[in-house]
Amino acid sequence: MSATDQPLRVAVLGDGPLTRPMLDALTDRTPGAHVVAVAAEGSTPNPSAITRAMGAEAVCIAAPVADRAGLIVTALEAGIPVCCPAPAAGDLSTLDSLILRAADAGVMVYAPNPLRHWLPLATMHERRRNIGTPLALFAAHRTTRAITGDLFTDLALPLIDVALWLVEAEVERVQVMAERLFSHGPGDGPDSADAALILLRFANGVVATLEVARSLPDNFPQAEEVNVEFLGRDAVLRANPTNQAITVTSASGTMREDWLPHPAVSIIETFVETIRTGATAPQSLLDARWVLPVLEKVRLAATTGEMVRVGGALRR
Amino acid sequence: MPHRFGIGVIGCGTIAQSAHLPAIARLRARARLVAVADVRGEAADHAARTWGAEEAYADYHALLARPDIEVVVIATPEFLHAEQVAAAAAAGKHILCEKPMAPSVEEADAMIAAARAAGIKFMVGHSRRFTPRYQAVRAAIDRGAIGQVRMARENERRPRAMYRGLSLATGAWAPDGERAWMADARYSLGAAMLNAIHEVDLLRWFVGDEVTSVYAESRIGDENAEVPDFISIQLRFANGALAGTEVVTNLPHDYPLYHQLEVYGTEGVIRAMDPEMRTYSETTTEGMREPLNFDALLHIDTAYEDELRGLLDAIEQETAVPLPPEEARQAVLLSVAAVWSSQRGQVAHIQPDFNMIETPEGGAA
Ligand SMILES: NC(=O)c1ccc[n+]([C@@H]2O[C@H](COP(=O)([O-])OP(=O)(O)OC[C@H]3O[C@@H](n4cnc5c(N)ncnc54)[C@H](O)[C@@H]3O)[C@@H](O)[C@H]2O)c1
Repeated sequence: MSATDQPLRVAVLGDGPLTRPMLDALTDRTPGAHVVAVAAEGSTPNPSAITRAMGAEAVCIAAPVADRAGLIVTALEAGIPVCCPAPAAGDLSTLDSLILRAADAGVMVYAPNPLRHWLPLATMHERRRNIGTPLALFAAHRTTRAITGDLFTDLALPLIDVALWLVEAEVERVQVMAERLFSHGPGDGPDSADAALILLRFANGVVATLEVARSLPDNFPQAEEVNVEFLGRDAVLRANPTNQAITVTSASGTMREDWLPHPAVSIIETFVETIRTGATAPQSLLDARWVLPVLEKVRLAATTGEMVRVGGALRR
Repeated sequence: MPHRFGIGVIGCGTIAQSAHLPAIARLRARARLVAVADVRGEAADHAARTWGAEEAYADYHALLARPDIEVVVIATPEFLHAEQVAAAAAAGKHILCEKPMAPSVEEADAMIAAARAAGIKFMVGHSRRFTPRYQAVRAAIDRGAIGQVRMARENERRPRAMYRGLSLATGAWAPDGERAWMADARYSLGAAMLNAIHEVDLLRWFVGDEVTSVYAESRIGDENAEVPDFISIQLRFANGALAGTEVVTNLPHDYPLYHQLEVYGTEGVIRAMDPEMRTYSETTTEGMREPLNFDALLHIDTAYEDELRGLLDAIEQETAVPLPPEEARQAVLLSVAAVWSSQRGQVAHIQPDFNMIETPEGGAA
């Protein structure tokens, strides 16, 4: 094996829902890469120390959204390419400072939306033009109640990204009803909402009905559920990417086992390929620049309870 | 021998031929079809021949004049309901009127007043309330299976046939020639009234509370339609619960009609999703049909029979009808609010007594 064929040395940082799928993808599915360090399990990862000590050539960030920006900055300081699932930041000012730092450092930051990497959704995107004039989009992302984190950043933002990706038009106005309906604890109002109904009206007339909610009972057979239905004059495309498991009932109860590759596999493959070829990242921090402004309007609509117009061109 | 009520049917279009007339025939031990009426004389004649009525009238007033008719089923387009209910009540007939009760809250209130003044039983046929599947959902909620309802969704998809005139033999009536009344802005408010009124009624029924605000986005997809054939509605309830419905009625011809119901409670979730909910189908070389759901409309099984039976029981036993018209009136309010909101791009706030929409100027709409 020549030096350039050596597997890429990757460090996985952060303890989040993507840590395990990313490690599995690196270990089992990506011959071109191997894991040299893991900083997870609740420890505060110190990426510079780890990457230096282990000679990591790339970093995958799997931390909760609030910790992502800090980890990206340390990786940028070390000059190492970063893969950080969107959203890399939950607000525009953090995102903008990351964009500037990445540009200054000349380091690639790949910020993929994991939803776009579910095979059924990727297929829907590939075939989106087959529906003729698009009429409406329905998309729901639901998780069990035990899963915590900011509903808007964690669930609404990736779904809005999917809507923009499929509909390919500007959002004109948004309306949101958000509440804390299922969980208990301090706080109420939109900031602690665990359920939101979002309507986006696009400039091309398409109406997107989005539902994000931590509404599934904790004993539901699956921890999350994604349904997308793209309705056009000539065809309707439906994707239920999480509706793809086998169940195994044995003496120890019923187990659900997913059989579609986890999005982490396609994310890692794309990341490694992008580094190897020196190409530009297919989804960069800049892509979040057209999603976050919509999310901010969504938050505003949730707080005021009124319709909010999204003025002007949002795209970069 | 149980009493056999003399029944008259006004309007012999799609819903009468496919649901009400068959239901009357199935209830023959308690109901006898006496006469039918339709402005399209040939439709009335056809219905009378097919279902064994003594007389067919082009003018429904002649039907109302018959003393041997005790109950009328009104199955005409909703813009005619207020006038026809008032006339039937004045003639002393008990009434089962198709949903939507009326296109406006004012007309709905006038209908309730007319029925009360005449001392007759009056019920609006919100058939989904009588559909075994939805009754099972409501029963599960009532026995506390999922705790308190916090969120609900009912989506509905239909192929675009209905705005072109239904594929059923009867077809939708076009008062002025070309365009079916359902797609004509002079006679119809579109999907909010025709279809989504079922959904908002069900959501309100399952949540068990009144709505405080409504937001909707609608659009016209079919080039033949003047009124929206798509609407997505969000509801916020007084107890904090949220609900949503997205109704699409302009899908490609072969897209299967379906409903998708999800009710989330503090302790669990209930789901009733259509494709898996087929009760009966026949697959031939021509494809699959669901005759129990009379072709493509999912009107499920015994709903129409049960609503008529409920009305006859109330008359006989002198009790309240199983679905009070005030409930149907609230559904009208929600659909009107959805139209109001979608036309203005504003949230429709419902007045504190849940009686009318509150306008930004502080008045009522
Ligand atoms: N419960 C349900 O789920 C359901 C389903 C379908 C329709 N509907 C409702 O039923 C009503 C009728 O709908 P449809 O699909 O049968 O429409 P349709 O157009 O097929 O039939 C309406 C009939 O009314 C007749 N008519 C018109 N004016 C009349 C008059 N002045 N006197 C007597 N007859 C008159 C027409 O000739 C036509 O035959 C509507 O309000 C509709 O919303 C309810």
